[in-house]
Amino acid sequence: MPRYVVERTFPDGWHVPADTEGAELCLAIGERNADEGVTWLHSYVSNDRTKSFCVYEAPTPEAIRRTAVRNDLPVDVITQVRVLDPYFYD
Amino acid sequence: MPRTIALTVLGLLRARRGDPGQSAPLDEAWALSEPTGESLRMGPAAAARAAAAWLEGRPEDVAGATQAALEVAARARFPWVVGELACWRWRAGIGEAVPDGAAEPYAVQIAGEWARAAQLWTDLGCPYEAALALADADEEEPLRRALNELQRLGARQAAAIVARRLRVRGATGLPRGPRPTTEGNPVGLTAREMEVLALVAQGLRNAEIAERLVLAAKTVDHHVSAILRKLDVRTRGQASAEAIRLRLVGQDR
Repeated sequence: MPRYVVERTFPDGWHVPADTEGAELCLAIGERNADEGVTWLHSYVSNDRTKSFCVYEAPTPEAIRRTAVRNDLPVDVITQVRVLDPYFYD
Repeated sequence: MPRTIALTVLGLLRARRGDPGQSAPLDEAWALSEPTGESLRMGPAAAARAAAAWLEGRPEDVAGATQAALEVAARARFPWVVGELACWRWRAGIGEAVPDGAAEPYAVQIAGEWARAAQLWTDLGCPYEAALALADADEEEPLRRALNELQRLGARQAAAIVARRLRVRGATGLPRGPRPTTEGNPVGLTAREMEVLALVAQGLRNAEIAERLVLAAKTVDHHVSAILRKLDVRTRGQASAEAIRLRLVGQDR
């Protein structure tokens, strides 16, 4: 499955509360992603919470865009990526 | 034929959005259409490859991508195919006579009349083409209009090209687009469904909602089903969480 980094901008910040509500939000996103064969692996979020870099596995960039619409999430840039492990040579 | 069209549209869409993986479908579309020798198959595939080359900053690849298809289309006299291919070659800086019989908006555009070309495209209901015509302008105001329109359409690659042209002219304060949030009610709930949703979010049961809104219980059932479907959730609790997340209801419960 191809892997992608999805960059998003949240002018008002992206707030996922660390409680049951936040858990339910993330669970709902995961369920909707599953319908398209999309897996949200994890995200890096800027300290001011206005930018996120989300790592996904997905069949196509279109699948990522469809789930973004259903999850009401913005999309700036989708980049297909591969893992580089700096400790591979140890 | 349908496969080449699907591949062409997919590749073109990725190229315009700046998404990865545009070359594989476009190369396959061309490989399938070229042997047919038919301009209605070759033309769209060739034009899409030319568009992708231009959007990716490889204008030198436009000539090779369009040569064979343009010859076939010119012989067969298909004005829209001829016009589109000729327009890409012109945009890529290939100085050559415009072939006879190019469709009017393309012919006008190649003649340098960007304002009239943009109007023709707008009248035809083609906003992307209209924005690209505006992008040919040598003035800041139409370029800014082109940039706004391309950002509205989510055409990130062309928007970046127009933004660069504006910056070269010293323009500042350019919008960073695309607009990240959906405006208004993003899931298309009706006014009545919004009312029902507000009461669901307050924890009311259907019978209580029916009483409050003076509706039959069955009608409320229908509204709740429609709300769950539109919010794409399975339970009332999830619907409440969605309603708050999408700011469809207040948080004061």
